[in-house]
Amino acid sequence: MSVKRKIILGLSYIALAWALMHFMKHEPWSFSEIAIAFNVDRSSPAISPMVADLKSIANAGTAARYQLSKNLQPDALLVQRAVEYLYPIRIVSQNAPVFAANTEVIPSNCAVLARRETVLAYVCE
Amino acid sequence: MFVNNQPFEEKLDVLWVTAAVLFAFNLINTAAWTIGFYLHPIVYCVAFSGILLTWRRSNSWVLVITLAIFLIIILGTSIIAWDARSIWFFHGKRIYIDGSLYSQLDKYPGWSHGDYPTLLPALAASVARAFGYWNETLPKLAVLLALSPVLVFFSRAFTSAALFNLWLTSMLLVCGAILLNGYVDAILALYCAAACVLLAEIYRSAFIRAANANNWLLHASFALILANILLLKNEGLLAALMLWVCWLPQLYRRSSKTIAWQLLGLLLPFLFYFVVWKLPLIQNQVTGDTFLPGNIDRLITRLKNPTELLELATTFARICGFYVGGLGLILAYSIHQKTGKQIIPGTIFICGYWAALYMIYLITPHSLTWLLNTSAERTWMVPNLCVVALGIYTIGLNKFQKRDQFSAFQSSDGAETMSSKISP
Repeated sequence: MSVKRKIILGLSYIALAWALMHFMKHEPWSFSEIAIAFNVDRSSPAISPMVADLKSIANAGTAARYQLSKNLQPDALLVQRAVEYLYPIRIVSQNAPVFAANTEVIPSNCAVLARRETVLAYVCE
Repeated sequence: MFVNNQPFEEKLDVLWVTAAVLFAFNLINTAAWTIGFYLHPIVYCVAFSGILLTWRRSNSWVLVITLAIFLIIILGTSIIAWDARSIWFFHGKRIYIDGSLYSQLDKYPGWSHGDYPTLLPALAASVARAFGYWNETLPKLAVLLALSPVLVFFSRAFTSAALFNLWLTSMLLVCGAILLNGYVDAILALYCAAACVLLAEIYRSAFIRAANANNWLLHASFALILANILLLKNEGLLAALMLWVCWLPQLYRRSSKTIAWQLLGLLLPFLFYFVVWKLPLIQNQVTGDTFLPGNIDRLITRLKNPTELLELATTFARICGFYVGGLGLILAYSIHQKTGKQIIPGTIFICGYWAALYMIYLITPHSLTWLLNTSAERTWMVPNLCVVALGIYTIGLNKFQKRDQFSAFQSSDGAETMSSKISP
């Protein structure tokens, strides 16, 4: 192999090594995340505490469908994350127990099914 | 100039078989989920280990190291990106939980694009099935499964170590954060780039070698990649159709028997796509939001709106300008080296894809500014990466084109070659 070829080959390895290091530096990964990657209940930074609480209530209950209270519905991100994270439990628009923020006032004809730090679920007669 | 500077030969070897088998596994896995079965990822690992048989090649260990780094990054991040969560991996979760490729066709929820193809979601479902649970990290290993066939292919296609290193470097720089975050755009770009390189090689084979050379390996690989492209993303249909149209002219001056076999073979990917994905979509009346009524009206309105036209033009220039210039240089270099003919079909595909996306942005029912901001970088990545692949292929082609022309001239079997008819 000529010197010219060796130089070109060497430069290509250096470029690749730089690109890989640059890539690793800009990806949001960490060794601590790898350690918990295999946990069954591994969550994600994309999941807010409120969505995690929704799942906790849904897993403890028996309902297959829930709806979000009128206060929670305008929060598009919450709706989206709830739909993804809670599946196979579905988020529907009516005729199901209601998820609401813990601070919301529950109608008098409704009974609280479960309560967590940020949210609760209630069902109405 | 480069070590082992040669485009790939039409010779069945371990790497080619490994790539082809992995491409086929993607399709088998997707089809298997239609009846609730799946392909265990360990089968991928066994097939991928085929490249260990070629450990003496620097490309092989460079590829293994690169994929190992990808594995670390994938395990070190959860699924965060918007489309990855709400579309691809949500569909994967539904396939895994409901045990069917078609669970998303019930249109729940409306914003999750139930019409999007499911090659990556099906792989994610297989990973989850293999581990026995769905969490927020492990299904992302599907990205690695989807990338491995095409990277094995490139390690075989760019036989020179320097060229393969250059390709991986370029791929990392062009795809960036979108490569491993669970979006399908970078994966689609890689598959289209592979198809572009194969297209050039098919034409090289047609021009330089004997006109009736079988070269079934090239066509079979092309068909496998087309089928994968179709099942990756909705844009895949556009890409596959354009690649197919660019492939057609190579049938010129072939025997009628060859034409029949090749046409049939290259229609199979579309048939597979139609049966596995498009037909169930039609039966369940699931449609996308790209081609809605009123496209012509929206097109005319946008063409009359100089602000939007300027916005689209400047975005295109910013994202694709460098690659448009690069493609011009590649063409000029190829024509100078008398290798332009095999580059032209890929060039037509790239220009056509640029133009088609431009047209899709002109007719979109969504806000143009919003759509450009959220998708232009990703969607135009496909033709841009194809330019890079074609450029690297062209560099590698130079020496061996001359060698092939010499071989064709020296051919002692008297076979008339297309090169003698067509080459200047």
